[in-house]
Amino acid sequence: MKLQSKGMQALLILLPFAVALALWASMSAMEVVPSLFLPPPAQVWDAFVQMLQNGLIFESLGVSLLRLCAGWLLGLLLATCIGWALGMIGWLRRGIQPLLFPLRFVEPVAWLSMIILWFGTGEMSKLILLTYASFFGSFLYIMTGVASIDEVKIRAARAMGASGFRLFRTIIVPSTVPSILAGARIGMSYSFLTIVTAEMMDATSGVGYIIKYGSVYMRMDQIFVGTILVGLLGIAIDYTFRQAIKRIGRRYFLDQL
Amino acid sequence: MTSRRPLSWRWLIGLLGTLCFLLLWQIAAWLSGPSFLPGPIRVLLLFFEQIQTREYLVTVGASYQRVMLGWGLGSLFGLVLGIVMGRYRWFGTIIYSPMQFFRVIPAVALVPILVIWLGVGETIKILIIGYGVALVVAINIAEAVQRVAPARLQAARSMGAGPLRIFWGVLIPSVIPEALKGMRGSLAFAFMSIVGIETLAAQEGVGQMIWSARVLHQTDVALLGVLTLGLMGVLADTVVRLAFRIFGYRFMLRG
Amino acid sequence: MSAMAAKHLPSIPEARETALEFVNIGKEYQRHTKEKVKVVREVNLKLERGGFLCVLGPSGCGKTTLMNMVAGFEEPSEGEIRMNGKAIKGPGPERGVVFQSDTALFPWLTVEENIAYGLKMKRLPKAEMKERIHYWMKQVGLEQHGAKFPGELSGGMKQRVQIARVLAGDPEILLMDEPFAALDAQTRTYLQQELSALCRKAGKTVLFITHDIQEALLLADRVIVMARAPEPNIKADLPVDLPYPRERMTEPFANLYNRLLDEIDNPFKASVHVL
Repeated sequence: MKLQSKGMQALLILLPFAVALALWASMSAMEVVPSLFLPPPAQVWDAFVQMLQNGLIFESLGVSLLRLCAGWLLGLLLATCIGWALGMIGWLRRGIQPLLFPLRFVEPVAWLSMIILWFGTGEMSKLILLTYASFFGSFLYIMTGVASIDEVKIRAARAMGASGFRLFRTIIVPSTVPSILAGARIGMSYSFLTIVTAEMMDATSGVGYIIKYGSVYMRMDQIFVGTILVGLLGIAIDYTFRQAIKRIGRRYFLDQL
Repeated sequence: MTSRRPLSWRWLIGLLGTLCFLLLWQIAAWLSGPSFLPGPIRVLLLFFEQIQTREYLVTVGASYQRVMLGWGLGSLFGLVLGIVMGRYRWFGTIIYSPMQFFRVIPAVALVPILVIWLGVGETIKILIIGYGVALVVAINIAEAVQRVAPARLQAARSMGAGPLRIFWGVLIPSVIPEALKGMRGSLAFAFMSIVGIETLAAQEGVGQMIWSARVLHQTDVALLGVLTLGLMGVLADTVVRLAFRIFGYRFMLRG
Repeated sequence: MSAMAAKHLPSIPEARETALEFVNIGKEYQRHTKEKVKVVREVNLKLERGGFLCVLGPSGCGKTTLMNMVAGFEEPSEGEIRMNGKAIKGPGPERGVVFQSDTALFPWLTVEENIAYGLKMKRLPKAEMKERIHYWMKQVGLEQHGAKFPGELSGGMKQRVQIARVLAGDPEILLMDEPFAALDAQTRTYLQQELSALCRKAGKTVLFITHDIQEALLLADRVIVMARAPEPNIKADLPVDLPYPRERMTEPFANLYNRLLDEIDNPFKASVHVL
């Protein structure tokens, strides 16, 4: 499913957005639905400009991104270290596997209630929640990656005299780079889902809060601004990841192409 | 790093790990006091007490229905979409990149808009859960359809099968393993927005139960809710796995 | 060139000296809780220094297990493997291993870096390392491809990298586990010729595992045949006294071929026997 030219690809990605925008504009212009339910694009744009001018947009984006990145990095770091350890120690991994399985079905945000009871509603709770979300997304992936390192590679290295920490540094670490990168991406998508949900559930700042605020006061234009912002942020994050993986690229992904 | 240990040994070590965890949890609970961290015994007692009440069953039933309906309808839609995408290349090419993009946008963000448009009924919950599932399944299936070995299709054609027969008799069975695997995988995905949806737009459900426990300072109820979600997931996964094994054995043989 | 070779390679020692000795080797695995499977039993064998020994046998006869025990990846359940009189414990750089699967190469390292890996482990000086890498890349015909990644090479080239990587480490014994099994017929023939020449030039002791009778006869100066379970031990041991480079289409080659063919377990024959 590879497309020939980059321009075509960009066009195809933009096309559904353009169609949606056109549909939206024409529907509100013809007043099929009252503007209370579907504000015209111009009104949403005005709300956006106003929120841009009073600094709300930048503040919200900054707050959300800060929470997101801090929690994501911390969670990824934890997942990588524990993933390495458990990936290499078989009996410990089998010991905790039955505990991890049910957790796959528990949305990270489900813990928010308890985290708030334990740590209050401050930034600390959000950091903990997001660290967990990032860990939740990436840990299993990284651990499985470590556990499924090609035995032949380890044998080859040992036959050439590598052992102990040198074996870890020269074989285990580079072998797991692809699964760490993939895990980082999954962790980020769970962190993003979690931060947006958490900010809509219980926060006084952030991108999710814009949506929540709008819905409390029935300001449809603000809800639209918030939702579109969330969408754009998600797209930007995903794009950054793709580019980063492409850059780090060749060395680690050649055998998977 | 594979070891050739017998299967029963794995079971034993898993059981041992679980017991160790429960013990640590109970000790932590004793040290911190039950209102901060309720121990496993307390949560288990609460579970047996609650499971006899109608209220708890209604709560679990409401969440279960949303997740399973969202998952079932979403997978079904994703399946059809994926097969069409894989079969008709031009369609797949057009829709593939935008779909990859939409996959990264959390559907929960759409809840407020959908609530204002469609009300707080069951429709929007199933819609939001199904939407995410459908995207994942469709992309997987589309890729699976394209991966079907050309030799197999050519073999069918050389034996005299027409396009319709090749489609139903060869192409569809060829992607069934991927479809079943994808559906089972997306089951966990279907659980990924239920708490968000239920706290934002529902009167009952496990998510609502967990969230309102915060107001009343009921740590044990919140913990029970989390446990319930895990159990629901494991149960659903077991049923789905068994069903697939019974009805799909011949398709699962290619590991 | 030959001066350089002489610098890196030990001179061929006098023949008839024992390099590797198997003393009553047995190996069994525990498959389930109770059932035990014996994959190797009562193997007694002496390898001469500088000799090229092929272990021939059908799949499941324990020949790879035998090699893994020499390499130190697995321990024998019974008996002892001795190298220069000392029992083998764990893997070590004096025993170089070429694997069947090209995943043994490190895909995140270039060809040059792959060859350098074992040398780095030995902490060789930079200059000598560079010299050795260049020498061995040239020997296997990869001097143009040093900066490429394994993922960019063909199957035959990857196996050359593996061979160069192992030989650059200058091991006493070379262990090869069906290194050419996954290659196409032409590439295989070509690499067999190259390997034969390289090994004779380098004077290494080689233990080569294969299931291909022709390959064994092209390379080895001695072939042993292993039998499948329930009697997994050495069934035949015969010298191959043909001049190198060897030709397939000669009468002595064909005679040896037929003899070995008779010795190898035929699974169909076996199943008839069981019935």
